[in-house]
Amino acid sequence: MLLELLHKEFKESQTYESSKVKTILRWVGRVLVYGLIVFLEVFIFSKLEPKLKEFSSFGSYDFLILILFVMLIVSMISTTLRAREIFYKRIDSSIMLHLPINNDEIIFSKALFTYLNNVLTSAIITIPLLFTFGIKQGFESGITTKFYVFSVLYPFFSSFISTGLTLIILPLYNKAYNFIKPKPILQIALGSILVITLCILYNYVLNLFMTLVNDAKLDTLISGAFVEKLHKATKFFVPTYQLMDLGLGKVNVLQDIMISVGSSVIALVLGYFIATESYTNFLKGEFSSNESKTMKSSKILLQNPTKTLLKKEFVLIFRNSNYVFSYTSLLIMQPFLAFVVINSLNTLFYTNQQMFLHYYGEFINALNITLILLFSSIIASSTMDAYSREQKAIQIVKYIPISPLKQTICKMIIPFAFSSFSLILTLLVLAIGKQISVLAFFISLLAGLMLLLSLSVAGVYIDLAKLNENKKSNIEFLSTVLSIVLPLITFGLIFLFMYAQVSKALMYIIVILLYVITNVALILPFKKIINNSFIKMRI
Amino acid sequence: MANDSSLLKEKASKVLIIDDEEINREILANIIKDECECLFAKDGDEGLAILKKEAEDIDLVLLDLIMPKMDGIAFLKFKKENPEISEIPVIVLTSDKEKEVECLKLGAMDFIKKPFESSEVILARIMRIIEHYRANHITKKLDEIALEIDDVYKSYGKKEVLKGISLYVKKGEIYGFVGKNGVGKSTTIDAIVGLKDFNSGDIKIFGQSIKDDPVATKKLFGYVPSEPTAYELMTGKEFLEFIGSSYGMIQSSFDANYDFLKRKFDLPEADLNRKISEYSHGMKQKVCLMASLIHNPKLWVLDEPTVGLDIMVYEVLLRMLRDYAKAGNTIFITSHNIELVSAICDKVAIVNEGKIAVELDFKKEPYKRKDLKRVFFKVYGEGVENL
Repeated sequence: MLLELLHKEFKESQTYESSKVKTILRWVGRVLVYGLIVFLEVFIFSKLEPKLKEFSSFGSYDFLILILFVMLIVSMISTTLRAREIFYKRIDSSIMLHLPINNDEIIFSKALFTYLNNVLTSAIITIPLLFTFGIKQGFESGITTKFYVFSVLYPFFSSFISTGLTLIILPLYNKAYNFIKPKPILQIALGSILVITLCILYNYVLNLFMTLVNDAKLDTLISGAFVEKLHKATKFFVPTYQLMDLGLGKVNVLQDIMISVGSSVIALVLGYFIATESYTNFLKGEFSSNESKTMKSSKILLQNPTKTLLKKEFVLIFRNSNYVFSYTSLLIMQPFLAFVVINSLNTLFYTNQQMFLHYYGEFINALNITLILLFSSIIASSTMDAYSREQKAIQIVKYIPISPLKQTICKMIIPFAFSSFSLILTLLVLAIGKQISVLAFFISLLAGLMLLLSLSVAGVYIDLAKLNENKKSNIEFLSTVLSIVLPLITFGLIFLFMYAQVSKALMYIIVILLYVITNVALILPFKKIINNSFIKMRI
Repeated sequence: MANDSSLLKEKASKVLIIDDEEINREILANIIKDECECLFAKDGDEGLAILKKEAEDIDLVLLDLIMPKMDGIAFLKFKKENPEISEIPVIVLTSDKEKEVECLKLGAMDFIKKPFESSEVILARIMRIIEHYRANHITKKLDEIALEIDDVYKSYGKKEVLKGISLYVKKGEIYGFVGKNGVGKSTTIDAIVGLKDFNSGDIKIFGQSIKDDPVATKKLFGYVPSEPTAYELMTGKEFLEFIGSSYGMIQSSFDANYDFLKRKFDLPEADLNRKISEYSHGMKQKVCLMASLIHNPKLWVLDEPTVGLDIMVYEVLLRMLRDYAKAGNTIFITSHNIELVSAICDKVAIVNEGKIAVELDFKKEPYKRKDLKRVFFKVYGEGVENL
């Protein structure tokens, strides 16, 4: 039975694509991402190792323990995020509830599946790192075949404690998730904090990477005092330190076994107990009798039609899983992605293309503005489906007593507002991180907002034409084309003006004017087009 | 039986002449022939039968007082007691001054002296009363009409789907709109509720045209689509809140309707707090039914509401339809379920090839309820035994 339950959990965790090609592409994407992570960690560690030795003889070993400990936490966090779906999935629980399977068996299978998830994540990250360490240290430093066997087994050992910790924090995470879920502003705030943290982290890693690539000294990034403190702290990285001690056959075998086994057992037992309690409470809460549930009655508060339309659009975009990867998560990630790309390109140009920049002074500004516009417009293009996103419910739009004009404007406001917010956040992150000039900031802001408005209006026209009941047309590709072409035209214009040595001020005024003209041309027939096309929409 | 008339279309006036003497009938017919269409009866009995049958179309009765079987006085007494025909005006043809008071008491509007005076005077008297009656009658009827479809045409490219559909539904009526697949039922409903445009004609709901003022007209009806359609990402409550807010409802009115409908459709609060995507087909249909009635519409438009319903929800719907109509509201329903339509409807139209082929009025001819299935198959040229 346990195997069947594990198989069920595995099947549940898979995302099923509509075609084999998509499935293959998804797997290729995954392999590439993991490959990149493994490459980066192996590259950084192998480059870092001799430099760390310069600080102290145990420097590289301490850093290995630090990285392994951090990876243990990363693996635990990533498993916790996935474990919520394993433990608290309503549909799954409602099916399981009616099957003659003991609750203990269900919980055990879920905990075991969580453990296997942990092992897999940990294995991908730690095995290559341990192998690199082994190869770098060599036989002369006491690294034997036993160490490589240990390296393969390490994820299995370390995952006991991370699984235990996952099970302990899972109910808390689930509570926090349910608390944040209906609070979009809080979600955005947390997402923004996460993105800014990622930017800082990326900046640090990029600096480290560039230092290592240029074979420079690490003095600006790591100090001798830090290495000393780290050495003293490593023994508290339970159970990584103890496990590594065992793997390398160091002296305190019994103590290491006691600490690592003890901590793992405590975490696992406590975690299992908490998970059992939490799962049982979840079942009680979700599937108790209707009589007790009817007590929890909350009043429905009506809003004015405009507010309710905006709320509906918010639900259609932010609760739709189809938008997660194409819009909502990218919206939060946009500042980070823009920072990563612009930071890297700026670094490349400023270090290697000084001569080029001497002749084309505005090139960096133009490039930065174009990239910011491209990020914004490509992300925004996934919401250029104002009416298509209604799917079957498009008939509701047509029979409710609200004018087509009001409905369309409300449809445009939500994605426009969020895309604009993301654009402003991106610009602030870039400006605070000193990646863009003040001029680029303001031009990107003005052009970006107008570009988003043009795309919103054009998106509605394209969508209405696509949905026309009299003509079948597959023109949704136009949204993507527009979102790419408009920023590229901006770049082309600036480059052309630069080449023609037009003054900087005039150059940007013309660009902004062109955006204004585009918007006016698009908005003028808006009312007429909406009123004519609305009733002709296919249902 | 085919219904190709609209209430507001100008029709020729119809006059029923009841007189045992053929010469009188001919004289009167000749006087009014340019303005009116004539029907004839030889005595009160025959006249009463014609009047009952053609009550909707007859605008005036010219009645002789002295006739062999049922005389004029007896005719007026019967007419007065029968509410369906009591309002149709009568001009009495008489030479007896003494009976005039009695005739007036029994509802006669005017008198034409025998032997007949000048034809111009007679025609003027007749037309004055007809015009007065028609003006009052049409105003009254318009006030009584919940839905009027007037000569609606709709085509998709070259394919004509609706070829001049005309009908009207009176307030408080349950009107069934039946037909086999692809004959224009759903297109008609889509046109009524503003889901689809139509090429020509007009649709009025409580006198408001869906073409002229769609927003105001849409507030007047509740609509249940054939496939239960709601925002799957919302909870049941959120969807009802969306509908209530969209219709600009007052909070207290919404609260009262919400509690009432929740009880009627037996929807627990816990279920309404769940996402609609997790609902069964029946649950979704219940929420859609609730949404269609939450704003308290006076006209309920239902497109195939029984498809895929389990017996429990079906019974709830049936009860709801009856209660809703009992409260004086109007229902326009399409369904494949002939048993349901024949059981609950007051009028049924069978549509074929974009036109109304037959309209049955069960209030006038209740015995035809049982006949609906046979008539249905007859319209499509198939015998019941073949199915």
